[in-house]
Amino acid sequence: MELPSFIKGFEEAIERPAGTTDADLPLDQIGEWDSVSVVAFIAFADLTYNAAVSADDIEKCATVRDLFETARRRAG
Amino acid sequence: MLENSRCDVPPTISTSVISGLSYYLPSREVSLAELSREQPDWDVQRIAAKTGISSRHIAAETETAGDLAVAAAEKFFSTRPGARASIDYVILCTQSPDYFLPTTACTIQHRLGLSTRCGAIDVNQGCSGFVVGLGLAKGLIETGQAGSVLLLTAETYSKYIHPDDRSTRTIFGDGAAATLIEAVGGGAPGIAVPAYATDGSGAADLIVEGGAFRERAIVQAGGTAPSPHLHMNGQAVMAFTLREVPRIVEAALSRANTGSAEIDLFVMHQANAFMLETLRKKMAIEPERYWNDIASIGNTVSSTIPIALRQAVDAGRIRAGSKLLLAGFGVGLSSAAVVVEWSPAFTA
Repeated sequence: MELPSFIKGFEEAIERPAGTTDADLPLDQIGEWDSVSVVAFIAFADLTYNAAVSADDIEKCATVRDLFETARRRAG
Repeated sequence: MLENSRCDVPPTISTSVISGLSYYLPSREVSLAELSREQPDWDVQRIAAKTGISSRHIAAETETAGDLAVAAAEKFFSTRPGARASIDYVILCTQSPDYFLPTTACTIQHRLGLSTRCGAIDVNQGCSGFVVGLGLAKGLIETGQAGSVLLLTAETYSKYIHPDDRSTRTIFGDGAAATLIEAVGGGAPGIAVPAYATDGSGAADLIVEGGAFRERAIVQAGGTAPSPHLHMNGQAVMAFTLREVPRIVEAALSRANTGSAEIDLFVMHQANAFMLETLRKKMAIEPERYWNDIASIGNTVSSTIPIALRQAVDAGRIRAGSKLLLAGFGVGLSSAAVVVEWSPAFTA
């Protein structure tokens, strides 16, 4: 599980333009990051990494890198 | 012999089959355009692209779940008038009943003119309710308690939904279905043994907290009265679904001594298109063996599966002998799945 491919998939999942996301970008500065996108992210993490990420997990994340670390921790 | 025992209940172990099915949707249809006019801040096109829902039917102010159930049943009897007299048990699955008491199913027995020797219960279950109802009907039939069970599923979730709640209002629609489950000779294909799962730790993820007696207890203890509106934690429900549904599907396949490759059509609870598509990919099911269509109906809770079954029959996707996997999941949190071999006794 590599960070660049994670970010690419993350951008696709939340329908954000490709190549516009830095790993340390705060989630609250991402316009596309809303309740619909959170659901899309849970699906992405599950299908791509077999990572069962919970709503509570995501609430503790502040940046894209935090999401990556969480998905890596939860990957089966 | 007891006075109220019925001579038409088979004396030996039977198979339970779905022999008829109709559904009813309220006449009022709320389109994306109408929702957009009322809620200009919502990006309804983006939401619809995810949910796959472009419109939904909403019950009238004075129209209850009992009314919808009766309408679905009358629609069914209009095509099968002879079935009315044979029904000896009616099950109503709803979470928006007409009354706390009496049992809404009892009032429906009278409204439909069913036999007074008919059993009647309400089942408070949501998106897993149709499969749960099939399991109850199977139990009644195969233990000789009933020969002909009318399973009604009906919801008016719209009455619980706050008009400004984007997450629920764009998904749920009102509707009802009437399904006849009958006994046929033992050994015939039909409804297999269902599998069930429950995780009440997620109860708060889909809940109407106010309106019943927990509210009184909270207020008497000095707390704030809980909301009378439907609350859904969509992220938690998604995580639950991806975790539990593949397991319950496997359990149902195992109980039916069959495998995924033997299933002709998977008919899951039609929650929303994105969730269904994610589940399909996770379970590696080909699109042609998977039903995903609620565009003009929305999520009608316990009625999505029977509505989908009826649509699939009408579209020629289900025929006598088709092997189906049905799975419901959601409020509770709960899930249930069952294999059904479509009976030649089914009359459209």
